[in-house]
Amino acid sequence: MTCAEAEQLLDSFVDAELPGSMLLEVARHAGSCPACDQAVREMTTLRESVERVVRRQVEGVDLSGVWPAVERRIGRSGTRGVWRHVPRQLPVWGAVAALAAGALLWLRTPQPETVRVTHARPNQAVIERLVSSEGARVGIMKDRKYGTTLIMVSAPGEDTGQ
Amino acid sequence: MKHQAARVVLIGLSAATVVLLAMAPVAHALSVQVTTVQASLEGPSDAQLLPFRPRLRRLVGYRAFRVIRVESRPCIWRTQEAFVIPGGRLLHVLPKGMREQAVVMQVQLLEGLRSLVDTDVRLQNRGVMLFGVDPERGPADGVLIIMLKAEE
Amino acid sequence: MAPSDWDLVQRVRAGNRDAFRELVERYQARIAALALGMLRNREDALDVVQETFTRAYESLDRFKGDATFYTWVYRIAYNLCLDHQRRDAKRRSVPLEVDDRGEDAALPLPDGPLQDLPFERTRDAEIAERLGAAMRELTPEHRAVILLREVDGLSYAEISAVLDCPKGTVMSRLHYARRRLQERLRGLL
Repeated sequence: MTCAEAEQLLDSFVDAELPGSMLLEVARHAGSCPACDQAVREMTTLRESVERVVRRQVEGVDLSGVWPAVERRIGRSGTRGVWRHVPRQLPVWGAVAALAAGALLWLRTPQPETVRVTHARPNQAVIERLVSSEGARVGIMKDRKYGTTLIMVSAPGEDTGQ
Repeated sequence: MKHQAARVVLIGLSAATVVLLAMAPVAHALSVQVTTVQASLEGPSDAQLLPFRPRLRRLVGYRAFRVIRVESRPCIWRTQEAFVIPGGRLLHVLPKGMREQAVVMQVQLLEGLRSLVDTDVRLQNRGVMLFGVDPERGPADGVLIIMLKAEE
Repeated sequence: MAPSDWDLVQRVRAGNRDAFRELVERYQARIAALALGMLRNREDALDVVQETFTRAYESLDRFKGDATFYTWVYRIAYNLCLDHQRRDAKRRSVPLEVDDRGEDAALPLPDGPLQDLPFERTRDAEIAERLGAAMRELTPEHRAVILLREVDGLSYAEISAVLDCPKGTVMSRLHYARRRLQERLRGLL
């Protein structure tokens, strides 16, 4: 097997998507070719890095609220299970009561959840999304000692959109 | 027929009353304070800002800080509040909920109808974050600092 | 022994909501990884995760079992991410880079456990930053193929089912996306 031939198969090799015989052939070639061996190592390292970075981000996301939120939504949409058997002609008071219950549920939704906190400093702020207008310059600064975040906006001489 | 209509109205009103009563405890879900500060190269500083001076100096590089407007208001989750910022600007704050003892909110700084910045932040409960608006005519004009505090 | 996805689907169809909860809890972290990788915003990603499972529940009658449950759910999530990005396309995003003006404490963005060695921490942070920037430069289709393969370990056939494209397209997208990421991370890996 030549390097050019192996190169075509390296992605499938790393992903174990090659048939056994070809897998072995590429492995043999990579074992005796430093360039292809290096290419395989780089692809493996890239995979590990992507996986580590994304997993670490997901670890920081609190998923405990997913099911309660989904349950509320599927409860409201009422297209499955017991909801299918509810008669169509509900009395007016039933609709009012359902509306009231829905409103209550909605208003109570974002009630605080107590979750363990690590490394929290008094003013710690995490910027999760930031969009600026055309022409505006935006910078984020952070005071590490106090944890205070500053979003600096510079929007020179534009109209005020009136 | 008349009796039935009256009964429906009565039940509707009762339900509405129940909703309003139930809403009462959650109406004031958190308190948001917006303090606008003028930072200048020189001059006196307000005593109430003394605890903030070191970090303000480090972050924006000015020496003198004066409070020019303070607005504190109770807010309701998922309801947008507009705070007036001197100089024809508005700060829209939309508190979304609590996560890991931090207030998750959308904050938008508007100049007229133009949105200068629109951001989602997770600010530690009772914490303060800052927005700075650069001077239009140069550093001698100073800089406007908006201090945003949220407390659940 | 834990019930299979198909068993749980059948139970949900019979009106058992707890069975659906089990499916949600089984796959929520994986869907979150895809949504977070695609959108790079936690609030948006959480919205997509919730919406994905809500839609899956509502359209469960249409799930015939000819694909696995998780590739079917991934497909819903992927399409929701694309919709989200289309909606946001007109807005200009500012990269979340931070200029630190102080002397101690950790970077604000990664919430995960910190490494022990300062060098490792700095290197990891740099890889995360460069990788984040490189991922943003990829098209949503290329980003999705990288996430589904490298993070979720889906096979080419499964990715092709999620993205609704031929297997050959998956292979070429994966090849292109990997080369782009390697170029951007040169010297760090």
